[in-house]
This record gives sequence, structure tokens and C-alpha cells, in this order.
Amino acid sequence: MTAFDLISAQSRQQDGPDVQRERGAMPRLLRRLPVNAWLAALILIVYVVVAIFAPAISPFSPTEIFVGSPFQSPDNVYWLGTDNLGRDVLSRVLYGSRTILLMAGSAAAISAILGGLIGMFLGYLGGVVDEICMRALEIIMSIPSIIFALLIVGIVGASGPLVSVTVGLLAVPNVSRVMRAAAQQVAAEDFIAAARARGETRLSIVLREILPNVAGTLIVEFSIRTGYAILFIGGLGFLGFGATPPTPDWGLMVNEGRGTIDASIWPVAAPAVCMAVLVTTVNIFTDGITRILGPADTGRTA
Amino acid sequence: MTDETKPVISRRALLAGAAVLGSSALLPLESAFAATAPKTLRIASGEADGVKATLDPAYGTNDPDAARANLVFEGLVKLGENFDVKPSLATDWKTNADGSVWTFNLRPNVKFHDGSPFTAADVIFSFSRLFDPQKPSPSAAWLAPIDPKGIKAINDLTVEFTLHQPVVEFPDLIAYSKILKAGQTPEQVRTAGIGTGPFKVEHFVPGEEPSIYLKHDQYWQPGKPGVDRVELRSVPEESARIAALIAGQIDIFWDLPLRGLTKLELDKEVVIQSAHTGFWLGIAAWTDTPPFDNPKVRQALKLAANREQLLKAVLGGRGSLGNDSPVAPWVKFGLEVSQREQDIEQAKKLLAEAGHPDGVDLELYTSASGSGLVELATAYKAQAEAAGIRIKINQAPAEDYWSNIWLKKPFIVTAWSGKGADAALSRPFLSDAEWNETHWKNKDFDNYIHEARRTLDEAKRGELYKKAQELVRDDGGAIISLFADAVGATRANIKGWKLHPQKLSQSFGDVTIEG
Amino acid sequence: MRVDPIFRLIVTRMTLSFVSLLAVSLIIFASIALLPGDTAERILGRDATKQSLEALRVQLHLADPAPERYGRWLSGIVQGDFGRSLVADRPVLPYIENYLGRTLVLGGLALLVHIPLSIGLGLLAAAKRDGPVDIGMSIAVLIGMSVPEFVVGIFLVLFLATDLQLLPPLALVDQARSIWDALAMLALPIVTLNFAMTAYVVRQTRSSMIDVLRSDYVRMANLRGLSRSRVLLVHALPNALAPAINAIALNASWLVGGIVVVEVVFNYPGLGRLLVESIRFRDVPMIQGTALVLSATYIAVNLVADILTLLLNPKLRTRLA
Repeated sequence: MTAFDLISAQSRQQDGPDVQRERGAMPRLLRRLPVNAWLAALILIVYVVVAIFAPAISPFSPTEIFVGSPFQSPDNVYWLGTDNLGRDVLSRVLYGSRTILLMAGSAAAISAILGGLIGMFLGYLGGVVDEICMRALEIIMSIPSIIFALLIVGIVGASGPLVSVTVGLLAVPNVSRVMRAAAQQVAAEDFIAAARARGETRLSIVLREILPNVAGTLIVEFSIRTGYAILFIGGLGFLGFGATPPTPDWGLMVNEGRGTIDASIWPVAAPAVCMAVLVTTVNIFTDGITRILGPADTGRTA
Repeated sequence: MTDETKPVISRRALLAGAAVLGSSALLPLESAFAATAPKTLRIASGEADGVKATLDPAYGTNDPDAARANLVFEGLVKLGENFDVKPSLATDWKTNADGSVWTFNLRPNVKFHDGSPFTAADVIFSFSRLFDPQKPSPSAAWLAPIDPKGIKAINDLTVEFTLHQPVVEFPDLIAYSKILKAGQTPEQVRTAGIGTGPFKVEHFVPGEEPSIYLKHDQYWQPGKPGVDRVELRSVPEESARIAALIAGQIDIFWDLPLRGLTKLELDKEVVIQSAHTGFWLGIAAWTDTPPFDNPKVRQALKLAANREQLLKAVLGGRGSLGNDSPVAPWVKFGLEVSQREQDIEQAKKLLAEAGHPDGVDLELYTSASGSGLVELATAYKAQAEAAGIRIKINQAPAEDYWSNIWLKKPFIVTAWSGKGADAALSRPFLSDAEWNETHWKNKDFDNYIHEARRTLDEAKRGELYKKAQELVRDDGGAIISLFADAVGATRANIKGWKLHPQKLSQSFGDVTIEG
Repeated sequence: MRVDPIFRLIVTRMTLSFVSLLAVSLIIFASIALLPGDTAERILGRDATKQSLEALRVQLHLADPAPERYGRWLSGIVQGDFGRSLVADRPVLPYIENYLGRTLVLGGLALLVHIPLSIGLGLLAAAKRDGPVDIGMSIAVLIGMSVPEFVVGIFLVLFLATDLQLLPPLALVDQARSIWDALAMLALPIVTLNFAMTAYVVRQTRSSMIDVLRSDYVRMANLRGLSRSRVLLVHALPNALAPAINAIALNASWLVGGIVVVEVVFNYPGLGRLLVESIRFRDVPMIQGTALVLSATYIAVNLVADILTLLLNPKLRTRLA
């Protein structure tokens, strides 16, 4: 039992989660979502729409070089100017949103699904299995994630799917810990005992009885993990361990542009601002849904 | 309740105290600070220098290695800006009738860093170790004509080289080879080599920066070096180099980007120097593969290029125009003819004569593995359109380019570092050259080169090299469009330094610091 | 004899940390050794000569089974032999020592600034709750949490060092004439690191401080007529600190990972940058040594943070007893 567990137990008692037991509680909850979270959700939807329709709305191809001369300042043809190879920065930024949303989204999904399953089972089962698995998860959490990610991606070779899977798996212990705590609370309830008495299988109990009641926490976790994944993947891209050039990856674009930042600031500033705004809106949204859906892991991965 | 009212200050103090204790110890501040501070020159290379770094001139691979070697060691001869040979540790030299035996007279009264005298024995040692069968130096490849057993000391100050085969420009061949004090082991030379250069090693650990060098008090050039101490480090980020110059943290950079220098140009405390170099950027095609096998097609490709525009697009104007000869016009034996200009009509006509009245479709490989390669491809593509040459650009990954694309694809963008006439012509264009990127096999060209290598008379040799260049220019498979400039900069109070066009040949013995 | 439960907990945590370290060493070794493909080829590249591949196989004992190699590596480490760098052709350990020292200096200084700065700002925000200061602070906190640190670093250099020339752009600490010079050179990386870390602690401090200020205990103190600052510092702060300290502890362990990116941005010769470089060069002994030492630092920091949090949090101590 680490200090973290003691403190989160303490804070949970202070705030108390607002776990709804019946189905159909969602719509009522949504109405309590604060305004800034609605705005954030809107902006996130815009990002997703841009990502989906990037090929249609980009003025140029993101990889076609020398559509203009290099390091042009923004004008009415190249809205964000051009980079060192004369590529249109706006098109690269628009396509880059696909890369980052896809990679961060899939990483967060992996963390949430695997972490959720593991956490719920451990929380429900308890006992020796729980002890052993928690120890194992703690050991995995002892490696700073960035080091492990660098090792795997650096040695196997950078590729989008590999990075997504690695980042996703690295966050599984954190998510499991939170979901386990949430599941433990639900597992103590009477209706769970009733389900057991009815002879339902463990799998069925976890998926049909526990999951709906911890779904809120899971959604919050997914949201948190998305934010971290974006930062992490951006960082890996910056270090050169993300997508390979000429893929328009925002972190990679910042790295490619920073040597020639004196010639033009836009190849660096544009992806940087887009990344920052995306993470900001995810964080605002996360804050909003945390307030209505329950406690969340306020710790951070390294 | 009482537990919680106990002041928490003591616990906070504990935290703070521990933090201070923990972090106070490690800053290196015992720099010698005598009453008269030594004049220290702070220089930096633009290439990253990790734990691979070495001081050994036989095994150095990158720019910081070369800078180190130039501070500490010297050669028998050195190369001037036009690839002409100048005396250094050798004062003069002569050869026999066919250039197979060379005799060098060594400079008297030269002392190594440890005070011992420089003699012929050191020359023999320095060259023999390059051919060590256990660990031969990469330079052994082009020094193949040297027979390590054929190096003799006639007396203390005279060395004779008897070569495997005649080499008429032998001094040029050994211009990069440095002289070390005899008897050192490779481990010693790696970090603490002893040479005759203007500076001696004070502190060098591969991977640690900076490396520090002190003035050689017994340096053979009187009054030199002009500074007492040199600090060498690496700054890989281009924008960081510019920032460091402006902030006064570094005194000299010899490797600056060609673009984005406006901040430096405006700063009064910084002086920019640029120099024409023989580094050329161009496009190479396999002359044995259609459609390039028809010389008219090759000429058409060359005429399609608008070199002025390429210069602006690729090098930001910092360079000179190439005329399809790999030897820059100002280099020794360089060909001086009128500049080839773009001629779209003629290009179309030649293509039609070659059987392509509707133009040709080509696939051009490039990559971001070197500065300017991708810009050149794209700019040329746009220019060649007008002549009916339709190019599709294939941008290969940077790490792979020189191993998997160069020499392996028929139509590529290429770049070569500046060299003297013979090397610039023979390495890419001889029929049997290892790096014959155009698959060009021209007997006349080969004959010119081989004959030039046998011709002792300089004027005649020059004629032969010029004829060879004319062949490359008209018949060869390479569009040599640009020679890049080198750009360096110093703080305004640094005097006596001149940017050498060959990046790896910088020298710092003449530098003085004002004020 | 009654053993102090705190002591027992510390010993348990230390044992677990040691086991973690062992497991981590196994994971590091396995991830390099067990990856598909030929290790020697992966290090030297596809077109390496047969000779050099064979020589490397012999040098790294690649013919031996993996567990044996692991055992050899581990026993070497325990005796202080971290192997020989393939690229530098020199022992690995001195490099790790020097680079680690510099990373600890940078990280230590960053934490030294971080702790008073973030707690102070959090208190300020709580005290001026809902006022312009508080709102401004929460916006700054949001930005601090959202902007990636490499972006922060690059733009700080651009604005503060290059444009305004307030601070030196390169951390050339050996050029420092005095400790103030050295600190000035490290200022930019320290600020960059703090940008990200401070946000979390400010948020924690503020929210827990607000909760505490609402509590009965503090209301009593106010009613008793004590001055506002006395109430804040003596009555409210100690109880609000616990989650803040927890956040700081989490930041300290985040720092071990986050410092890698900052070292690369500022080209600072620390262990993080060495790790990235050795991965690029495929210098296996150096990679293993660096990754192990960085992980060990992370585990050690976690351990210390855990223990400190327990010791400094009165509520948790009573909970344990």
C-alpha cells in the first residue's frame, strides 16, 4: 500500500463519487456539465472533423515539396507560410491532426479497455490474485514510461502503430489502479452479492453489473489518458522516435523546424499551438466530466 | 488536535535543507582565475560530437575530430584555398623523373609539444601506422600508392618515399595526413596525442565538453599562436549557433546555415565570412540506361536547368553557378568557360532528335539526408517541365539514402564535397571508379586522367585535366549545377581568422583576440 | 518489543523498491536481447561486413544463452563494471557518473525552485479566491499543464535568450565565472521544467487549501479573531499541504522522465540526453547502463517521496497507527 493509495482513499471520502446505480442516469448528468466543458467538447469535435476531412480541406498536399519557396511568411495563398522544403504549413498541420488524434486516441483506448478490464476484475476478485497482480503492476510502473518507450521504439524502429500500442500499454497499470478502486466500491454492494447468488459467471458480473456503475470513471480515465497520450506522443515525435518523415507529425514538425526557427517561426509555432490547444481543451473537458462522473487518478505518469 | 498544531516549519526546513545540501556540491567552479586571465578562444563545430570523438587524425570521422586534429597536429604540407599545396612541416620537395620517388626536406628546429625535436623518424612512424593490418586507417584506401616499407630517412631532416606506382601529385595526396610524435600507442593518441601544432591537449575526454587546448610555447612559427587557450565544443542546432554568437558565448563558428542569417547580419558585434567552396550539388543519371544513354538527352537535361534560379532556391544565393564540371573554376586546373545557360528551345530540339518529340517521363530520387538535395529536385522539376521533361520525385528516407539509393537508382540527386581536380574528376567519373554514380565509361576521359597522372609538367597536366572536364561537361551524365558557399562567423573582437573553404581544414593558429 | 509501524513500512517499501529495481533490470535486458532479428545486425546495420558482425558477436558474447548473459551483466553491475561502450570504446561507468551528476544538479535545482514557488502560488490563489489573481492563475495553470515542455523550452530560448538577450542560450556551465553565472545558464531549462510541474501543485494546493479554509477548524480560528495571515499559515497550511506534497512527490518522479526531453532541447549533457544518443547509436552496453541508472533514480525518488509523504502527513500517520 503506497502513500498514494492512502491519500486517494482519503480524498474519495471527502468528495464522494456520484455513482449512479440505475440505467438512464447519463442524460441527467450531462445537463450538469459546466459551460466551459461544453465549449471544450465543441472544439474537440472541430478537431475530429478537421482530421476526418483533412484531405478535402487542405489547400496543398502535406508532403509535396516546393509548392512555394521556402520559409515564406503567411500570405493569402499559404495561410501559415511554408517550411524549409517549401511545403505548405497549413496542409501539414491539418493532416497532422489525423496522425495525432489517431495515435493518441488508440493509445488511450488501449489503456482504457485493457486497464478497465484488468482493474474491474482485480477489484471484484480481490484476494491473492489481486495482491499478486497489483505487485506486478507496481513493478511495471517503476520504469519511467519515457525510458521504456524510447527503448522499444528506438530499437524496433519507429512506426505509428508501435508507438500507439507502446504508449497505450504503458498507461494500463495506472488505469487499472483507478478502475480497481472504483470496482472495489461497487463490488461491496448488495446487488452484486445477489447476482453471485443467482449464479452469474464472473465475466457476466463484471461486464453487466460492475461496468455500468464504473463507466463514468472509465470515461474520465479515457479522457485523461488522451491528454497525456497527446503530450507523450508529441514528445516522442520531437525526439525523433515517433512517425518517420515526411509524415506530418506535429512533434516531428517542431523538431524539424526548430533549427531554422530564425528563418521562419511558423513551421514550429503552428503545430505547437495546435497541440497545446488540443491538450488544453481535452483537459478542460476532463475537468468538466470529472466533476459529474466521479473521482479520477490525479497522479501522473513519468 | 495538539499534534496538528505543532509547527510544520521544522519539517519544511528539513526539506529545504536537504534540497540545498543535495544540489550544492556539484558545480565546477574551480577555474583558474589568475591575475592575468589567459586569452581563451571559444570555438564550436556544427556537428554533434558524442562519445565517438577522437583526437587521432588517422581515425577521425567528423568535423569536430578534424578541428581537434588541426589544433594539435600538422602535416608535411597543407592545402590552400584553391587546393594548391603549401609547405608546412616540409619546406620543399622534389621528385625523380617519373614521380615514383619523392624526397621531402623537413623543417629544422621544430619541437613537439613535449619539447622533443621533430625528425624523419616521426614521419615514418606517422605514415606506417596508417597501414597497420590490425586496424588500418580509412585513409589507407586512397594512400594505397604508398609503400610503408618504402619510406626511408635519408637523414634526420630528409625523408624519401618510394611509391608502389608513380603519383605526380603526391604532395596533394598526403596533404591531410598528420605527423605525430613517434612511439605513441593508439590509446595515447586518442585522447592525448603529441604533435607539432600550435596547441597542445590540456583536457580531452570523448563525450565531455569542452575539450581544452593550451598554447604550444615552442611552436615553430614565431609569434604564434595568438591566443593562450582554446575551448572546443559542438552545437548541433543551427539556431543555437546563431544565438550563441549573438550572446557572446562562442567566438568562432565555421559551419553556419546558408539561410536564416538576418539576425547575425544585423548584429554589429558579429562578423560573417563566406567562402566559395568546391562542394557541388547536382543530379546524376546512369548513362547506360535509356533514355539517358543518348548523349543528346543528357545535354537536353543540362540545358533545361536555370542555374541562377536554382542558386536562389537551393542555397539562398550563397554559392556559385556550376558549369557541369566537378572542378570549381577557381580551383587549380579548373575549367574556365562561358557559363551554360538555360535553353529550353534547344533542349526540346535535342529531345526530338533523340527520338522523344513529346518529351520524356522520368523518376528522380532525392532525400532530406543532406541540405539542399530536396530543394534541388523540386526546383529542377519545375524548370524541366517547360522542356517536356516530366519528373516524378521520389523522396527516400534520409537514413537510407547513401546506402540504398545512391549508386542503386538511375536518376538521383547527389552532392560531393570539394576536392582538388584529380579527385573531383576521378572519384565519380573514372570508368572503374568505385563511386561511378553515372555508369559513365569514356575511354578518352580515362586516358586523359591517367596521362595527367603521369605528366610531371604542371602546365601540360593542366591541359589534360581541362580536356577531361570538357568531356564531362558535354558528354557526362551529371548536371553539376551549383557550388555551395561556406559561411562562418566570428565575434567582432576576433582577428586573424579566415574561413577555409574546406570545412575540415580550419586552422586557428593565427587568431588573436582584441581587447 | 513494539516495532514502530512507520519503520516497518519504510523497510517494506525499501524491499519492494529493490525488487522493482531487479525486475526493471530484467525488463531492460530482455527488451534489447529478445527483440526479433539478429542483435549484431541491428547494431551495425544491414551492410556490415561478416567480419565486423562476428567480432561484435564475440565481444558481446551473443552466442551464450540470454539468461547467462543477463546474469553476467547483472553480476558485472554489482561489482561496478557496466561494460564497455561500443561507440566510445571506453568503460561505460565513468560516463554514467558524470552525466548522472549533471542531471541531478539540474533536477535538484528545478525541484528547489519548484517547491516554494508552487506552494506559494497555490496559497496565493486560494487566499485571493475567485479574484482576478486566482482566475489568471488558473488560466496559467491550464496552459502549464497543456503545453508540451519541448515547445516551452524552444520558445523560451527564442524569446528570452535570442530576442531579448536576457539569459544565455547555451548551458555552458564551465564558462561560468561565479555561481550566479552558472545559475543564469541553467535558468532556462529550470524554468521549462517548472512550467509543467508547477501547474499540478498549484492546482492541488489551491483546492485543498480552499477545502481547509472552509473547514470548521479554520472557522473556529477565524472566529477567535486571529489575523488572516496567522490563520492561513499556522492553522490552514499544515493540513492543506498533504495533497500538495503528494503532487510534488509525483512531480519529482515525473522529473526523471521529463528531464530527458528538456536535456535534448537545451543540449544539456545529462543522462537523459546520453540515453537518447546511445539508442540512436545502438550502443547496447551504454543503453543498458543508462536505462538502468535512470530507472534506479526514478525508483529511488519514488521511494523517498513516498516515505516523506508519509512522514510529513499527520493524518496518514494516525491512520497507520
